[in-house]
Amino acid sequence: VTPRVPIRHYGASMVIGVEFDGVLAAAQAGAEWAFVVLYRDFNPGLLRYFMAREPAFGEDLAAETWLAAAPQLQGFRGGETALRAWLFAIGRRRLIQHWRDADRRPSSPVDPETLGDGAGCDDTEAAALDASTAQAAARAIALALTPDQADVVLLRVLGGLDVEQVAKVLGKRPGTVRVLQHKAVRRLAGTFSLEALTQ
Amino acid sequence: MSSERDSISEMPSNPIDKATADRLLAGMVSPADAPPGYAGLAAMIQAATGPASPTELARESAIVAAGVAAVTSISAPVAALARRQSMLAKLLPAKLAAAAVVAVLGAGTAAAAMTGSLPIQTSNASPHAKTGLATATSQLPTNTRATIATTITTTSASTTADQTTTTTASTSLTTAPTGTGPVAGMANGNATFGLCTAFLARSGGSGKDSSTAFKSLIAATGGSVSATTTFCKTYVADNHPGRTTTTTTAPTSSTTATTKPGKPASPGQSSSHVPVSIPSPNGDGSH
Repeated sequence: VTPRVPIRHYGASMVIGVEFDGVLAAAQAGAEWAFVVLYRDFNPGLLRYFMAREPAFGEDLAAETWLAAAPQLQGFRGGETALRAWLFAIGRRRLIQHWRDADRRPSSPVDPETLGDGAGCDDTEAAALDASTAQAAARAIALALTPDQADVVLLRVLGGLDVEQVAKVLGKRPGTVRVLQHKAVRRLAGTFSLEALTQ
Repeated sequence: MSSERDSISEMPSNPIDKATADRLLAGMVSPADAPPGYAGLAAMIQAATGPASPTELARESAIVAAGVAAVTSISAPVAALARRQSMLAKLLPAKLAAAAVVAVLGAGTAAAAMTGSLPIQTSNASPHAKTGLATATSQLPTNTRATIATTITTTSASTTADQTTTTTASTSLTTAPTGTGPVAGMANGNATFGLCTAFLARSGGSGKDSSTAFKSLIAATGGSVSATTTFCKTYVADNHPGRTTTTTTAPTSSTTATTKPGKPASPGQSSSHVPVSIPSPNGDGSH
């Protein structure tokens, strides 16, 4: 019997909540439905993080993160936010490894001229549009910031992590993360202000 | 990137305290409630944390199958799988085999096979499998990831076709005060604002990457970058949360903006179900 699992709306505020302990225990026992719940809750944020930081390999990096995390899941102990932080920490290591493999080459930019030949908005594209919108927003946030600032903001926004968890994932001190966050928020407010966007 | 943005960072925006910044980044501040100068950022954060799309869950079947297989293979006898994986490893280049087997047979034991340390005794399986997978994935070159992606896609093709996942249309967050309405095909005005904001920010910055969203936005707003830029500037000016405080409805009905952390998703949002048919994770004779 396939359990019925509702699609959950993603967001830092949308969490499994009180059901989490049961879901985690079931996943650690190999229950398919529990993996579905975890995947649906965590993958959009994880994917958006990668699409913001390394768009050309975002899908693959998200998949690699799950494949790296799954064998270690039975050893995990903690709550939902801790699992989110754990997953992003694995993902962050995958991203760094990816950059090392690529000799830190940035992803190849796309000629802006090719933007003009987009297809129309049919039903299929409309379905993909919401995801792309979220990913475009995350990407715009990343592009407005230095890499360190982008990591802090994206992990806070997309991972729903607090300062201490972000510091742990990034290997920085909480005070350093606070400073990066402060500068990033000021910069983003300027970037996305009415004046900056319409000038 | 940073140098050309420094001037923007120096723009006068009212500093906010730590608590407000924390709430803003946690998505707990709606554009209408944002401090002066931060409405645009609040809207961007809302756009970035919008509902999950089926396209973002496209690999669900494959990932779930791999996850279940990885967990169960760690706690189950793996002798039969070991023989088959050894054969695979001989027939294919080692890394390619690892990539394929990770997706098809299950991550833990497959990676262990690649490292040549596949344990026979169940009691020894777990640590080796864990280490093996970490090693395998870390050693995969960039071009091998395409193999993983292809394999996962192929594996999931038969099952994803049955998926009945749907997206619940988001409730419109903004009542447009002028004639520039949301782009056709967009779920709501807030998404249009977020996309336009991203588009304009991108045009002025160093990011030149394309996206389906940008292409669709361009197609829907005139077919050229310049036409879209004009549209978006008008749209953002007319619909900016900081400007339309008297005519913009607060996003009280938002499914993403107003739910506080710690609370589970409200029931009844969307109840589509996904029938998942997955190969037996312990399938010792089917591969």
